[in-house]
Amino acid sequence: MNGRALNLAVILAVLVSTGCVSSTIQQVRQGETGIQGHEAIAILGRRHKNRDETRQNFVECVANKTSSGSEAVSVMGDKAFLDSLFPWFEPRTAPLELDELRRLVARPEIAQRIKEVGVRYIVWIEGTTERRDQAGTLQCAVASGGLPACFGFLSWEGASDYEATIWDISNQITVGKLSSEARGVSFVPAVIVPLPFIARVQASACSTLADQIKSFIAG
Amino acid sequence: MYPTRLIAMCALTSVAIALLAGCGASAKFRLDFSVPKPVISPLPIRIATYFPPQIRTHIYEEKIENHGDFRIDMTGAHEVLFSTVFDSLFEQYVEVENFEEVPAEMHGIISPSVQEVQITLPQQTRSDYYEVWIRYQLQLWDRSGQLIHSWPLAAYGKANKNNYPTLSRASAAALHDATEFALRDAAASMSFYFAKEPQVQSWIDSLTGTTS
Repeated sequence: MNGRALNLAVILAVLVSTGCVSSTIQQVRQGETGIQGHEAIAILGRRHKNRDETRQNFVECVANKTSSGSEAVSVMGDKAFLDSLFPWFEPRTAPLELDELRRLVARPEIAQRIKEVGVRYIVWIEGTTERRDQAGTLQCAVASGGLPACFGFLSWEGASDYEATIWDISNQITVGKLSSEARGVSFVPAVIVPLPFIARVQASACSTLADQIKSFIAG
Repeated sequence: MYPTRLIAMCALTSVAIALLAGCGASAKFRLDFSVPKPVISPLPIRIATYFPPQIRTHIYEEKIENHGDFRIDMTGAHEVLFSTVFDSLFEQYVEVENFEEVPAEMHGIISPSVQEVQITLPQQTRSDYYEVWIRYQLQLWDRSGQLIHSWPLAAYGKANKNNYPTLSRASAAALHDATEFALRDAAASMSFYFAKEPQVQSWIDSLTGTTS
């Protein structure tokens, strides 16, 4: 009986914590890839825009998932890479186009530092997660017994759109572009107790993009 | 029954207080700052630096109506910024306590000062960003005490509020990071553009015998 109750609780917890998410991935390959054991990739967020910059926790999520699991690749994190090559990859100074990277790598001190850190590919991540089409209301109040109670229904669509552009530093070319889109509707019905069904679109986009990066780099 | 109600009311009151505290954006902190050594080739000049007391113990304070009190203690942070950059930017670099102390082999003296600091909150700009602007003024003299050039250096840093957990000291953490990014931006600009100021470039050319 206890086992059944536990199973039911686990199923309910999973249902409550997650909603349905649909993901779409796309890939454009422009060059051959491959990575040696001593080489690493740097996963960086674009920060040159005044608005809608890629959130740091998404970049960290992709870096963590790319450096773990099957086909894991050695990853140099955003902060470590920016510090090693300071001040060439700051928001106002980072190369936006490949020509700028070529000019940068032509500087002996930069070429030497990139060789020291062992980074072969730079993965630039751009994109956002938005909450849209929010509908309904949810109101909470303290009931007559002194206990809180909520009533109503709230729903919204979560949309994650991310793109990764991969530069091969050794050959100074763009080797490919990957994109990951995730959509999901979250809703929170409440009759005294709110029951959130959250569609984790950002987490889904992170996982699919990290898996794409690993298989793309492996070639 | 009463103890249960009492506990529930106390819990609700605590949550309400926490929510209200989270709504207020006041922030007071000391900036803990370090900057990496820039990967640049040094200029062939020897420079002494004088940090005026104003920049050594700089504290930004502002009361923003409806948003709270803000205090950013930047004591030591600007010195770390400029000394780290100058150490990479110049062939030789020393710090001096006054102008009489400048060693004979130095080509010139540079002195930075903070002119203005501004902050904006997401609530003010209806955006996701805490933003910090810093305007420095740099002055460069030659060995004889003649002013070569005086120019402003603008720096900007921002931090996305969504990168910080709500109901915590989010505004202090975000403003700390935005200030740190502004100082890094100043270090980057200094590294890139110091020798591109026309008067500075001419002076360096005259010292090194280069014709531009």
